[in-house]
Amino acid sequence: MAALRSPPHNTLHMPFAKPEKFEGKMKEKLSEFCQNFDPFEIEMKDFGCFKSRVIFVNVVVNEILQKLQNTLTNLARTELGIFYADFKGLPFHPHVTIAFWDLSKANFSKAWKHFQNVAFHGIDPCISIALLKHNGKVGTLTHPSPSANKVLISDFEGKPYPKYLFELNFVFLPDDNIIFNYVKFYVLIINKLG
Amino acid sequence: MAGMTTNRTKTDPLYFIAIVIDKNLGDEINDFKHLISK
Repeated sequence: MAALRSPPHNTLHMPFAKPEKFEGKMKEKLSEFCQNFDPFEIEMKDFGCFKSRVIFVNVVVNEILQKLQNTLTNLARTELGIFYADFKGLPFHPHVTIAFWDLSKANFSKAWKHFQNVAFHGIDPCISIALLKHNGKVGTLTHPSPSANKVLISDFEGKPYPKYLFELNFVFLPDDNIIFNYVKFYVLIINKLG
Repeated sequence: MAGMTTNRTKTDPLYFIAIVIDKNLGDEINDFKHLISK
C-alpha cells in the first residue's frame, strides 16, 4: 500500500521541482529557518478523509504550527522562488496520511467506516523538519519493494541528525487505481528546531 | 527573490518539506496503515 512506503509525516510544503544546483541554497535557508523555531508539540486527534481515497490522522492546528508553515512557505516563495505550497491553493490542512490514492473506492468505504468511529489521540514532539528529494526514478507498484519504514524510523532516533541519513519510498501523483508512478525520495537533511 | 528564479526542466528533481513524526507515535500510526493494507 502506498502509504506504507513513507514514514508518517506532516507535509509543510507540497512537492516542487527545483534545479539541483539550488540544493545547497535550500539547505542553507532551511537551516537558518529552523533556528527561529523552538521544538513544540503537535496534537493529533481522531481521523479524517479526503473522499474518496485518502484517510488520515487529524492534526490539530495550533498557532505555532500555523506560523511555522506560513513562515516556511513565505520563505520558500521569497528566498527560494518556490511556489504552490498547498494542494490546489487550499488553506493549510495538516494531516498524517494513513491510506493513499491507491486505495480502491470499495476498500476506502470499508476502511473509513471503521476509522470514522475510532478515537485516537497522540502528541508529536516536533523537533525537526526534513527536506526530501526525488531520486529521479519512476516505476510502478506491480512489484512493490519492501517498506523501509522501520529502518528509517529507527535511524531517526539518532542525535545529532546526520545529513543524507536515509532514503525512503514515497508515492507521488498516481495516474490511476492500479498502476501509478512512484518515486523514491531521499531525506536530504533533518534540521533540528531551536 | 529574482536571483533564485530559473527555468525549470523535466529533469529537475522533486523535493518536498515535511515534519517526520516521532518514532513512538509513528509506530502507532504505521499500525493503522498496516490494518488498512490487510
